Amino acid sequence: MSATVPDRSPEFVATEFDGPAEQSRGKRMLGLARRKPLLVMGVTLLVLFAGLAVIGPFFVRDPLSTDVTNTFVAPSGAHWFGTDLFGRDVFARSVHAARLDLAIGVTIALIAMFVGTIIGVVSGFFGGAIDELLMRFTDVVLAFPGFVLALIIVAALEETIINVILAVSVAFVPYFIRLTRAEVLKERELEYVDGARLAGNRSWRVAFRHVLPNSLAPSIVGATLVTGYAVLTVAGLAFLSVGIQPPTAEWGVMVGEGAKDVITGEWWTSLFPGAMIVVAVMAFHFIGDEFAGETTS
Amino acid sequence: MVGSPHSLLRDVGFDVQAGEILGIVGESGSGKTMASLTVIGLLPGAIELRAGSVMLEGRELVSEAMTVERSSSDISMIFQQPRSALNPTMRAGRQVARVLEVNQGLGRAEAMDNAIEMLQHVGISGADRVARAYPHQLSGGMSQRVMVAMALACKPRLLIADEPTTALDVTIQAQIFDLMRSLVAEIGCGVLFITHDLAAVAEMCDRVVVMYGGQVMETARIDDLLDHPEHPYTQYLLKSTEKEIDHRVVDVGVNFALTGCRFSHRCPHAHEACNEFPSLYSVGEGHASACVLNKEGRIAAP
Repeated sequence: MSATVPDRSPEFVATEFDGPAEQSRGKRMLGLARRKPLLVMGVTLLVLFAGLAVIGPFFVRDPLSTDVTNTFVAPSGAHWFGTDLFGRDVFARSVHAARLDLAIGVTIALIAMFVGTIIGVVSGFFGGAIDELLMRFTDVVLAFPGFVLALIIVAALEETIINVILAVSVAFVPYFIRLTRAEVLKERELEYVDGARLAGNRSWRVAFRHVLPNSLAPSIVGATLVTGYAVLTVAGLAFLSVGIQPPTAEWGVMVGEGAKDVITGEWWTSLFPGAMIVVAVMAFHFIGDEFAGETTS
Repeated sequence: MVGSPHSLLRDVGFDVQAGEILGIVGESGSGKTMASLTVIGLLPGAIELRAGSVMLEGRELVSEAMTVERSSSDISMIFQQPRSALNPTMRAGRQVARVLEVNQGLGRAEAMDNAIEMLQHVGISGADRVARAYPHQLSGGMSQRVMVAMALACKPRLLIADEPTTALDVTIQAQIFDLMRSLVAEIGCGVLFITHDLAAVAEMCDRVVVMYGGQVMETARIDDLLDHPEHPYTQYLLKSTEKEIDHRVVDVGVNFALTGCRFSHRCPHAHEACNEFPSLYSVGEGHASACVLNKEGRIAAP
């Protein structure tokens, strides 16, 4: 390029333009990794976790089978993460827990997003008394820290996994209501909304078919963050023995059970599941943060 | 919104014949868009219609609750920004088809066929490709053609075009004007053409309503208005296009007198009588001016 147009200054030669087309896929990935290292790291971790959650349980031992002759075995070739008080394999339990925790986290994010988005659209689009009522409701819910709210709800209900999912979902619904409502308030002023109305669409249709799809972006980004928070919240509840109970293989349960072993020197029973929580939550946050930067800029 | 209500439009009235293009001209804040939104029943929430009447082919559209009841195939609208006037998450063809589904009760497939036909009709080549495109994949001119197709798909009786070409460059502007004119002649609907561009009015319109501060200043056939404007405001408006800008008029910006004639505080002819809200005085056939100076007839040299 620069040879045929020698009079152009170097910065004017369009490297950005003719660059990407010539690059191999590998180079492009490297470029992406340099520009957005967190995104690449987050996605990589998430893919690993998803693989672990989906196929991992088929390859590891039974997470519930006890072995009294092999209690508190330190991490080794036979037991990668060691064994616990009952001789259960910590690695097997961590892998099974990955399936449970991620499934719960994703479910919570989806439920909260689904409910929150619908309420947010109704609130933002129709406004007036409905909006006022719904906003005061979210104020009340937001007045409690999400964790405490979920704790109260689970404690009041029967302590089943379904109830944990519902309780934590409720705690995250206001987040999506606010996100969606703010976006709807912006979108509903645009001309295409008037256009859709003029075309003869009923207002619920304008709200859900026209405004809703255009107001989803922040909630989708928010959902990745909420998935991380949800995993953390569920594990946190389980750690406090609320919600998911032993002997279920769940990260929070394992950390809770293993916490007292640390004093006697058996650090592995709580460290590994704890590290899994940290890494999983981090993966979701890396992705969410990078996406949030994209949509707001 | 806060405090006592303001009246935004006062004594604003106009009529459009079938097949006629009526221009509404005025600067920002003159109420031209408010007047048109009132007709179509799309006033923003903070603004309400207190009194008035909208008649379409002999039917009163303003209900007792002071809302405009119209069937969506009667009146349609072309917006200023073609980009934001199309739903970004819906394919162009689907948006046109939807109008036909709602208003003519067509099935999905049939509506889509008609929509593609309509897109061809507004001069889009490769209409089936454009029908599958999302708005961000279309150029501004193309989007405006899609808007025109949407607006005219159901053969409305009245079309409101709110500065339909402001966002487009002049070449495309001319194309859209040609297109609108030929389609309007074909369908035979009336058009309310809202703009601040006098050149566009001269090119497009049969008659003109000049507005200022929510008040009708002058109404006339386009030739009459351009040849001998009667109202001082119109005179200054026309003068300002000739680059002989009178700074007394231009400097004041967008604010207007709240009592009497809205233009009185900027008008070089203002006197005591201007503290009364003026009525429209006829100064010729189909030509009226809302200036007390016109009480006895024409003031401008013929």
